[in-house]
Amino acid sequence: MSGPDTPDEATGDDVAQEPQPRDSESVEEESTESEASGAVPAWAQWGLLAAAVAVLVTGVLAWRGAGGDEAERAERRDQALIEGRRLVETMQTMDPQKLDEHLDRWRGATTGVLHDQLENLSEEDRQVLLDQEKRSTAQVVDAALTSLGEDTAVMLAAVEVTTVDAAQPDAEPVVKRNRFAADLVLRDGSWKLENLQQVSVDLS
Amino acid sequence: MSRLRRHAVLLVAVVLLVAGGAFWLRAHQLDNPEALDNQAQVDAAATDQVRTEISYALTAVFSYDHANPAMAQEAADTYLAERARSEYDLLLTSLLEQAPGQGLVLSATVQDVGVKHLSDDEATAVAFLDQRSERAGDEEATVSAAQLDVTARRIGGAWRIVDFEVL
Repeated sequence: MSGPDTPDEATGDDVAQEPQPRDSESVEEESTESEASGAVPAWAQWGLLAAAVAVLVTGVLAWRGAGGDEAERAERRDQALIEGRRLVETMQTMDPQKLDEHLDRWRGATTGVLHDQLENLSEEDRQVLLDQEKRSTAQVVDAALTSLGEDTAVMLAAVEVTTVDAAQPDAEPVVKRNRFAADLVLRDGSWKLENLQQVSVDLS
Repeated sequence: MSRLRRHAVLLVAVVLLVAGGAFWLRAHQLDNPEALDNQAQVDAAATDQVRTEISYALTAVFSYDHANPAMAQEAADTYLAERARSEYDLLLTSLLEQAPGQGLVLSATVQDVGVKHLSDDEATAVAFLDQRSERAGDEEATVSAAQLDVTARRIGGAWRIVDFEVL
């Protein structure tokens, strides 16, 4: 931090006065600036740079090591719950008049044996679905996970299923509260249903 | 050092500081995501403890034997607090008014409990409860299925149910 008018207390290797003569304007400008920067000595400036490098290096290291197991697990849990709720709603929603559209959604929501079954529906199975003549929509009222693994989760869901009889469009919709246990599996970054069971009362 | 060089060093230092600060901030965010405020399924031991205690409390509280009505009251005193406590008293009073002298026996079974949110001293959970009810002279008991939204708080080291809602 040297200049022609750097005060004597400044230390460092480049304190020496610049030999070149300067015009008064330049000198004056330099003078104000030196005062403004408090005449920081060169070693301090290099020190500042070294400190900045240290902050950057440690920052990058911290960033690379960040996002520990717990954080990752917490986010996996939240994702499983959000997607799981949507999957259960999909599987409890059916309109026989748009059978293929709904079956496609069911296939998209499932994996494993459940998915294979939906891929290989017989004509009979399709007819059963068509014959129901009931349009149903579902809403998950409340849900929580009971277990969470690396790529598996089990979710409990309280579901409100509203059914309208297509044959009697004027009839009041029937609203039922059901409870389900859903086995979820993480496939290619998104959760799918492997199993969906109604939790019936234990009569034993 | 020339003026230009001096400024360049300062500028580089500032840029590095800002970049370093940004990395630190991001690291901090990654280590402390909002999702971690909820310890459910993250702290496995604590989650299991809440599940067990809520399950135990619900079983005790939603069981009733006309031959020993004090037991239900004791269970309520032990496991319930705040709004859950007053709600329970209302529920039991109306139940007994509906069936005076009918020799009512209720036995509750918890099918499963899932913890939704867990912090140091508060938890919310979904519980699937079966309640078998039997009256003197009934041929068969009736079993009803219920879904409950439960709020529990750690009071004096133990989890107490402070609120519940039948879904």
